Amino acid sequence: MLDITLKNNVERPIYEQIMIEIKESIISGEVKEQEQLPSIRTLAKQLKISVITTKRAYEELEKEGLIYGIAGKGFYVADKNVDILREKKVSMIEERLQEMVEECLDAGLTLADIHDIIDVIGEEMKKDE
Amino acid sequence: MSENTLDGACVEKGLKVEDFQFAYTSVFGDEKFAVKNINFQMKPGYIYGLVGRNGAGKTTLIESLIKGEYMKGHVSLNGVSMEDSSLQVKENLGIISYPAKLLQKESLQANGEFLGAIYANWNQQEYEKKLKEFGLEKKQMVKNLSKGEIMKAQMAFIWGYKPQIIIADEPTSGLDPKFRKIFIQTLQEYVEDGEHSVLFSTHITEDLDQVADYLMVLHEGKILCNGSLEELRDYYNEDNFSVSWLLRKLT
Repeated sequence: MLDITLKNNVERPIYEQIMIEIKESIISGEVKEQEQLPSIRTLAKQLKISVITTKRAYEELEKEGLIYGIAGKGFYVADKNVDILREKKVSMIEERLQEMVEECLDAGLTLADIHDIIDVIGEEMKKDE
Repeated sequence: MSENTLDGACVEKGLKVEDFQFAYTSVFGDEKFAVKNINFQMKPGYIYGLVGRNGAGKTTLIESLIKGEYMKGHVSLNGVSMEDSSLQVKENLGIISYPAKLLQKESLQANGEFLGAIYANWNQQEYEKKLKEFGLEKKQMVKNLSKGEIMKAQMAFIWGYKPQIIIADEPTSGLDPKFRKIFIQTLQEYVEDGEHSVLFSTHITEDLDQVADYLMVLHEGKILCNGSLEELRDYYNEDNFSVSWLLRKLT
């Protein structure tokens, strides 16, 4: 099931926020390949936003090949792109991690220190859940 | 996906206003135009915002539209012209305005029974159900209601006959912030089936920022701009874009 929450304080067009949320839901597997997305009108009402804004988000995602529409039926998650999307996300994370690790080493931390820090953060997150 | 799924198969559906103008004679005897060269179309399934500064002509436009009192122009619904069949068109309009066209000395229940009788598909139960949902008692007398309650009562009345088009003039004024949200959500529910549409005139522009599909800016009796909010946002490409920003920019 698709579960989207919009953050009102974000200075990003709402249609882009929806696109990001849907992409993340696809990456995380929250919505599966070939799964049907809520109808434009249902999602618009649920998010309390205009129909045209929702339609735009779906159309942009369709252009990127992440979802596809069937006239009269609705929109579905495309399957072939999910892996690519996930790979993209992973490589983005890798890049950011690399920067972080460089910064840590510059600050005089060892790799073992960094591991420890990550373990602590991980534990805390588990507790929060 | 094709436009058809969103807009319904029939292109002619909806309200169409062409070359509409409304004039009055001033105390000096000359003709003054309150609204002029008004052209717009309301497709089923969408919320249309109407904004403008005080005196821009919003209420005049809405009132002359509802009453069918205009000097020039053409108004039609689903291809049926208002001149030919004013009743057929009016039956499909739902009005929210203040002061309301309700019987002051009667109860809400009696208002439904008397005024609802005009509509072939009137459903008193639906009306009373909505009254209750909005926290109103059917035994309440109209004259004792607050402004906000009058707005709620009119919305409930609309539920009694489900007109194709709601025309709402400042419907959220007098409503507390919490109910304002519920009210706007109710409008969204109303258009969700893709068959109904709403014309929402307001000076509280934040009410329109997220839910309006299309926006019309009225200034000195003329429509300055008319388009989907998404298009307008792209066109101005401004980080702080909002309906209020646009209104300040244009008027």
